[in-house]
Amino acid sequence: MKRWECQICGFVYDEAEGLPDEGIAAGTRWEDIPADWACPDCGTSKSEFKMLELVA
Amino acid sequence: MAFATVPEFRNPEGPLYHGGALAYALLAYGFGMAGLFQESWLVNALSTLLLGHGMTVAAYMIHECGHNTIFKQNTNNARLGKTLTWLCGAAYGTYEDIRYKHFRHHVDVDDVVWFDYERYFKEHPVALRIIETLEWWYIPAHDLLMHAIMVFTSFAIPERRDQRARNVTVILIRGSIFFAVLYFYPKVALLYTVAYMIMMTILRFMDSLQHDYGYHLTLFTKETPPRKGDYEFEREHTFSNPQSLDIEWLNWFTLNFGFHNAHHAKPITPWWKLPAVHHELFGDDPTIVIPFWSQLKIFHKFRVTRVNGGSADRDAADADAWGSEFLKAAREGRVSGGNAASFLTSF
Repeated sequence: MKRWECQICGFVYDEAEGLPDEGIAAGTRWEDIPADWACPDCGTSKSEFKMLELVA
Repeated sequence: MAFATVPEFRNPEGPLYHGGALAYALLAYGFGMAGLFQESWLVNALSTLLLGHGMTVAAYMIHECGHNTIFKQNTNNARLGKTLTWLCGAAYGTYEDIRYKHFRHHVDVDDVVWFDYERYFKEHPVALRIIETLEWWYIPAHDLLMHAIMVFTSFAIPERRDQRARNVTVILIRGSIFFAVLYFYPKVALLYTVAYMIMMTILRFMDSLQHDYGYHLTLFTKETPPRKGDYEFEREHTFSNPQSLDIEWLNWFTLNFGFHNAHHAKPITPWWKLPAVHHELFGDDPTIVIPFWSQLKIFHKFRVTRVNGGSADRDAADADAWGSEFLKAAREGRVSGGNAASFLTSF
């Protein structure tokens, strides 16, 4: 599982937790999130995220 | 507002730099306030400066909280940010609204607002005249107007009517404390007001030259922002105004906020790393920044015309083509800059 960080606002997407409130189930991999998805915190595009760390 | 667990800093250097800045802000606020109650006018004067600067650092730490640079858990960043808004007199509206407007600024590459102060001044020429007169005396009247609207945010802004209960509660708490102090210790209330205006002045001194965008009245509209994600435009129309390139610690006075190109290029960089990012991106070229003396010259020379000065600058050239010309003109002290761009006023 990986974690991805928004480079504008610091929001973190954790693949293990997903974003159930946004309709993204726990365990959803980053690659499986639609390309037009936007950061729920600041609205920037998916491309502005960077992988933070590998989580065991 | 208690933290459930001890918050963990996001960065190993966080306890030193973020912790130091927070400790300074709180101590400066505490000792500054205590000093206002002393009899000595010298202590009063120094305490007013200390209090004003403590609030300034607290304001910049709200900015750090907004970008989640402090703690690993973003809920802890939000808790701290909300707490600090009470120190800066920015608690009348919500922390979330402060962040929303700020990130529209970053993501939309624009200054999106609700309040059209140019139109307001056209419709209220007497108010404009009063504000220009006060500005001539270095009283930050334009930003006082903005903060006055912020105090009554839920009454002034239709989209924030649902915040009325919270807004009234904050007005009653802060208002009753202020008027009680005014009644029993009028000197303290006066000096607190001066300290608050010092904070406002420092914040807008820094804000006024960092972008040459015009503002757009799209804070509450749903239209697609025309420049969203255009980071080349952002780079060309963002300007750095450090206190010094040679003496790095001088920039700590405003938590390195003057390295604004670096901040916009890498917005989640914590404040103490911004000079290094600036050097990484721009090297040591001094012509890429607006020198401090030019900033001071502009602040003094255009303090009255700046009230409507943003539009005067934009009239001088098409905003899209301004960019490097603005930097050149700013370096020579020939632009007025703008007011009313504080991230504390979320409208």
